[in-house]
Amino acid sequence: MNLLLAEVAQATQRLADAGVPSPRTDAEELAAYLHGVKRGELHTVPDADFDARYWEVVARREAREPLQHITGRAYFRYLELQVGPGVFVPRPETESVVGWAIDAVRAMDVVEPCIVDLCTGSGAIALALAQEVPRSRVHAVELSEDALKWTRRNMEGSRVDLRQGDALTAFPDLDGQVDLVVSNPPYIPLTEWEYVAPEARDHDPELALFSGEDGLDLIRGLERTAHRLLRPGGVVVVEHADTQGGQVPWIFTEERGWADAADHPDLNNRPRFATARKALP
Amino acid sequence: MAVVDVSEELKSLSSTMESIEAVLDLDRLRADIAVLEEQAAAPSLWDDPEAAQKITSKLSHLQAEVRKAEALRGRIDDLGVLFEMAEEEDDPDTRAEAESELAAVRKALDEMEVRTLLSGEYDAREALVNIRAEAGGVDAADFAEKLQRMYLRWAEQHGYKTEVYETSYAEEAGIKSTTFAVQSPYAYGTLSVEQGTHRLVRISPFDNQGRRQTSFAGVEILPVVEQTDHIEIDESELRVDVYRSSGPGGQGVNTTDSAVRLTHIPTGIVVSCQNERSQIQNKATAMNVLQAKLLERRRQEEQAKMDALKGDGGNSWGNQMRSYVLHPYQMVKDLRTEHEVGNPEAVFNGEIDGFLEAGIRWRKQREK
Repeated sequence: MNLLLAEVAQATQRLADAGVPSPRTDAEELAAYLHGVKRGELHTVPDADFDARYWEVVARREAREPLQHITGRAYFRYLELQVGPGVFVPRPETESVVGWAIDAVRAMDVVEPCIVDLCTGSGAIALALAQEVPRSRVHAVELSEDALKWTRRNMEGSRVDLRQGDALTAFPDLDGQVDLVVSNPPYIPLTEWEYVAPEARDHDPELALFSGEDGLDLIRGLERTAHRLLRPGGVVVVEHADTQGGQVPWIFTEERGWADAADHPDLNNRPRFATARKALP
Repeated sequence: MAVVDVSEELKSLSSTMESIEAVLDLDRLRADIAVLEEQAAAPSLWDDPEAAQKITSKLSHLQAEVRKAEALRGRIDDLGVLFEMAEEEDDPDTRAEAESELAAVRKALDEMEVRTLLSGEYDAREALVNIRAEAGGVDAADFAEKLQRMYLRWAEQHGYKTEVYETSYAEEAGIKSTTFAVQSPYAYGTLSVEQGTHRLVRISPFDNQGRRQTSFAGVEILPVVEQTDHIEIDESELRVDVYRSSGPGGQGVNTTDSAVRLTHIPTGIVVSCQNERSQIQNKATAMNVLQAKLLERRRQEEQAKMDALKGDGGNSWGNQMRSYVLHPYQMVKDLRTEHEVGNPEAVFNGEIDGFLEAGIRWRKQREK
């Protein structure tokens, strides 16, 4: 074992004592970040190169500052994103949501699919779709000025059309033309406040987490927005909380002009996102 | 040593070198290098980083190979001059120098000859190494970690790039299992002789009564799969497991662990990866490991059929292969090749070339 791995083992214990949910991962990721290697290359760092600032970043993580705020980086599918205070840190569950969206767009067999990401935050969803769906035209909207500082950095040089504004009234110019609307809107019920982990509660923007008593306020509004934007046959994909799998598909009803509403689990088999197709006239 | 012996010895070295050069086919290697150099100089090289990495890695490997052969040939030629000088000047120092150089050249030549024995279908591939603690409790877990370190150190000493895909730590000390890649050409051919059960005998540092303890660890070496192997996996036959937070998941938890574990339902093979940075990338690397395991399984099935045809049921390959004894005496010994050294510390620090060489020669002998 080299010095760094020995220090990582100690840091793991400290983070575990502080209640960090995956202490070994975080101890290794912090070490990898500070020494400029991948997690699986920690054994290659010579003892002389050990950076003592490691214990400073471990102390920050011990105080439950998010790992991604310390490193300034979040990874999402094939992307490396810049994140920090003011913007929501992308979660792995959303990788599955985007996976489903990519499959849905490919199945449409449209030459230049038009995609809208509502409440884009760091830009994770929009950028992943732009990267993985060739020739897609991706549009994204974000309300928060603090978040947009990060979104703009991440989208620099990309072909995503980014706009500032309210998701509910966004993109009047695209009405009826969109093939896919995707969103990871705030959905945590206010009643769940006490169960939210400190990294999220104290560091993710409130605007990105909560939406009314049952967490569904914004999703109810987005249903209308999605219906307005989509062409007939277009598809909507919305992430939600694990407790909302029974409710969200019922927001996309036949009476409101939807078909094939369904709910899907994440990789832990927890209800995670709803999808529906805009009914043909 | 009489003069005539030295010239005989030099002749024999030279003829061994010639046969190595013939097997390596230096002219063909130089032609391959020229082609690769052209590809490496193309402005579009890094448009496809994976292909680019393959080209540059292959190029530097071939260049090193040719340089090594040329340098060795030069040393053999110089040896003759050195002995002549020693003879003419009747100088014992020069004579001693020549003797020690002769021994060094012979050793280097033996090593190079081993490389020419790597001619199996998959020998040129990069390798995946999988180590598991077996019987022996915490000592076995500690032993598995020592073996991991041994191979990583060996690779480092040879300048081979390594990447640890997954390590599962044991409760008290050591590891339950690990998977890592040795990303160098011929890593598979070289390391594959390490496959089998390794055994450690020592006074257990975890036993407060200081008793002697025997523990075991299993080493599996797999060639990295290439597209041409046609190992296809049906997604519907996979169970995908990811880190499960205690809370609700999603926005309520900032999940940092993106490790993925795949279970191939028809075979029960389980693989994981935690080295990559996102779930989807960890899944992709885990898929590569799973493909390598399925390829190995296919090869074993084919091998079993061949053995049955030949009536050769007694293939003990892959069972207990090496003992590391730290107490009551110190010795590391291969059970197949009987190669042994008296310094376990050095072996655990990565000095396993002697074992690899003996294993490769032994395997070649058996093939005949």
